[in-house]
Parts: sequence; C-alpha cells; structure tokens
Amino acid sequence: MNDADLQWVAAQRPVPAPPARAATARARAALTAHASEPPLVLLRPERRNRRLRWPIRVAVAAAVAGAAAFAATLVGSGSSGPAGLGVQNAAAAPLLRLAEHVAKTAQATPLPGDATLIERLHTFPDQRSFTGADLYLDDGTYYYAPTRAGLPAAMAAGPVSDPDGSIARQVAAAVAATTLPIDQARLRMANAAFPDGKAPSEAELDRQARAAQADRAKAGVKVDHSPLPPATPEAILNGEIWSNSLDALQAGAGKPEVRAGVLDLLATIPGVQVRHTTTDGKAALELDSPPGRTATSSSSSSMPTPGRRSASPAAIPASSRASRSRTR
Amino acid sequence: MSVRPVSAVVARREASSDAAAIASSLADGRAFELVFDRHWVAIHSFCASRVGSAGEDIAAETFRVAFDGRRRFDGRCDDARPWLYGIASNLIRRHFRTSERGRRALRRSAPLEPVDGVDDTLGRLEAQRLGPQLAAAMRALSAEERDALLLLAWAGLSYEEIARALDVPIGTVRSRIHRARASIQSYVNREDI
Repeated sequence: MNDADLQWVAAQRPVPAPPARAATARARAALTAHASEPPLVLLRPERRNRRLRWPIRVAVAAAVAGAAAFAATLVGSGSSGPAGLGVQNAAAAPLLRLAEHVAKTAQATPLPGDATLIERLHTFPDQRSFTGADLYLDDGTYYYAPTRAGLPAAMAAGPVSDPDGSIARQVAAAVAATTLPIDQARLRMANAAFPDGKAPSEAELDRQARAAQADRAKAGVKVDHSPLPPATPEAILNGEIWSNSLDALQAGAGKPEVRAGVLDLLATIPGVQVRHTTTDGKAALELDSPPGRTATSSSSSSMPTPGRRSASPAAIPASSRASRSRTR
Repeated sequence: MSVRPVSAVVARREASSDAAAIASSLADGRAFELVFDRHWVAIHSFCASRVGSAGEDIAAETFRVAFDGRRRFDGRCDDARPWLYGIASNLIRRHFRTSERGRRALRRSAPLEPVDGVDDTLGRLEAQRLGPQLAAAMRALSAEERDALLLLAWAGLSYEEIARALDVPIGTVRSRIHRARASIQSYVNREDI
C-alpha cells in the first residue's frame, strides 16, 4: 500500500488559524490556576516596609454595548493574609476577553472627552480623612488639587511634572503589554517605576528601606516593627506589576491600548479574583487582589495610591474610594 | 540587579525535557507550564481541525486533564505529545458523543438511547468537520479507527506513539489503521480521486 491514501486524508484536514494570543493566555491562565498551590514560604522576621498589607479592589467597568468605558475604584479592606502566590485566578479569562474587546473596538469608539478626572477620599482608622482630585489629560499632562474645586487654580499654576519619567514608563509598559511576550511585558511593568526602568539590587533596596526607616524615626514617626507578611520574589514581582499597572491605568485611561495592556497584565497575577458587577448602571468586572497582596512603594507617581509611603499599618487608610469620570 | 524569577524560569525551561518538567511538576505544579508552552499550539491546532471553534476549550481541557493525570505519565518517554494527543482524542470523542446525544434529544422523534451507551458511528457534527469526502470515506469506520487514522495523518504520530496515545498494544493500532486505510483506499479508488 502506498501513502497516497494518507496524503489524501492529510490534505482534507481543515487548517485552523494559529491560536490567538488571548486564547493562549486564557488557556495558560486556566492551567496555571489549576496547577498553582499555595507554596510553602519561609517567614522572615523583617520585611522591607515597601511591602505593605493592602488588598485592593478594582472595579473595571465596560459598557456592554461594545464601547469601552472604563472605571476603577480602589477599596482597601484592611484584611491581611498569607502572602506569596495564592491560587492564580481561574477567572483571568474575563479580563483577557475584555482586554481583547478593548483592543479591538475601543479605537473605533473612543471615550468621550480628553481627560480623566479622579476624585478620591481616603479615610483612616482614627477617623482622619483627606481628599484628592487628579486630572490626567490624554496627552500625558497631569494636574493635582486637594479638591475638584481647586483644579482650575492648579491648572493655571501648571502641570505636575513627572521628574523621573516613571508615569510615562508605566503607561508605555501598559501599551507594550499588548504586543510583547507576556513574561517580558510583566518584567517591563514591574520595573517601570524604578529609575530608568531598571530594578535596583536587593542590597540597594534594603539600604533605601533602612534610610527611610531612619528618616521616619528622626521625624518622630512611630514605626511598626511587626513582621509584614512573607513574600516570595514572585509575589513581590506581582505586587509591583499590580501597583504600576494601576498607576498606568490612572494616567492613561484615555488610551484603549493602555486599558487593554493593563488588563492583560492583571490577568497574569495569581490570586486575583474577578466578579461580575455593575458600576453606575454599567456592567463591570470587579477585581480583588489576593489576600495579603503586597503593594510596593517603588513608584514615584504623584498619585497617592493607597498604602504608599506609609510608616505603619496604622497609617494606612481604612478605605480609599475613587470615582472616575471623563471630562473635557 | 536582582535575579528575577522570570529569568530563572526561562533558564530552567530551556534545559528541561517533557518528562523532567512533568516530574518537577509533582513538587511544583507550575513546572507543568513548560509542557503547555511546548505543545499548546500543536494540540490546539489538532483540536481545532477536528472540532472547529470548540477546539480551543478542548485543547485547554487537555492540559488540565493532563496535569491531573501527570502521576501516570510514563517517565521513560521524553516526549509528552503522544500522551497529550491521546487525552485530546478522548475529549474530542466525548465532545462528539455529547453533541450528538444533545442533537438527538432535541428531536422528539429520535430513538431513545442508553445514557451510558457508546455511540461511535460518525455523527453529523464530526462529519461536518471532516468534510463531505472524508466523512464519506470514513463512514464505515469505527471511532477508534478514525481516531487512530487521524493521529497518523493529521497529528503525524508514529504507530508506536499512537499506541501510547490510545493506550492500546501496537498490534491493535496496526490493525485499526490497516482497516482505516483500506477503507480510504477503497473510497479513493471508487470515486477516482
């Protein structure tokens, strides 16, 4: 028997398109979720204080009709749990589908306005609170005032600068995440807030942490020496990706490729929980960071992300609420 | 600059065989991602060829099932492909059977079938995916014969690999493929293709 029959059978095969990047990411995330188990971690008596207990909830709203509206809300729950890699989100698929949708359709249906306004209210356990109003123009210009009413004066005084370029790097990393291999994209975002986009050595980070601790002691700020949750190197990396992605989202919400890239990146973080909800009457995905997610203080973003620059857990707001709107 | 886990993972991947990765995954489940990265495209392609758009889900399920069954992987084989194709073939077969039962259940005139009965006749969905000519050529074959032939002609597995994939003796594979090829040959000659 010659092979003509086999060749004929082979020729009848429908040749499918290669799997889409999003499909591969979905399948990989599902496998990782299935394969991940909480690892054994070694407790270390002292952690750098840049790693803070700060579970963060993000609500990602997307107009169901296909236009890509996008909103984020940060809510600190104050709870803490074991750090390190949790179970990677089996629910990453909705994020990836939304990212794919945003990337495909948002260019055709741009958001209204040319700027994103974020009004924040941070409340502390001792009842103190403060507000903030951030105006991110789509061209990268950023204005800040304590309240919305103060923004006109702030705009007259001139934009807040991005002296070390970290905001621009975070936004660029989010855009790049839509095309780079995911490991490279994660690394780029994780390092985006470091000077020149390069992570300093562990020794340098420890030196900076000790210096900051000494500064706080000199200033009379009470320092909590209780051990912070242990964190594996990958948990730290994921914390940096999480924090920097949120910064990029805040600064670049007007750009669909930023939103898509951030969603791609958040979908790679183990333990992120995704739920369907509604925000202002629009369908939304609500993201919970994993228990004990470590946020980093590596960003020099002028956006006071919850948990940043805090000397002790008592200095962490009990809640941080932000409302986002598009404006002109 | 500190050593980043991503780099370590990449370095580990380049040096590891499938068998080593699967063995490592017994202690660290994420080591199994190497198997996914190596074979996802091929498994996805095979599944998509056989079942169309549902192929993505079946390919993803293949790796989940493989992960759960990794303790049973024969570590003497470096290549996980036959094992993965075998799992995929079983899932594809289940998909066709389920779809066919569902289709018949929607037709009130359909004869009742035992729920656990094995129906390996060529159903409408599978026939659609094969295309009219190949479906006609394979209509007389059993599901096992169709699976073996497509693993040979579409996935490019050897007889030995098909035996591993389907977990049957190689003699059984030879006889199934012999019957399948004879049927194809007969069709090709009859239709003068």
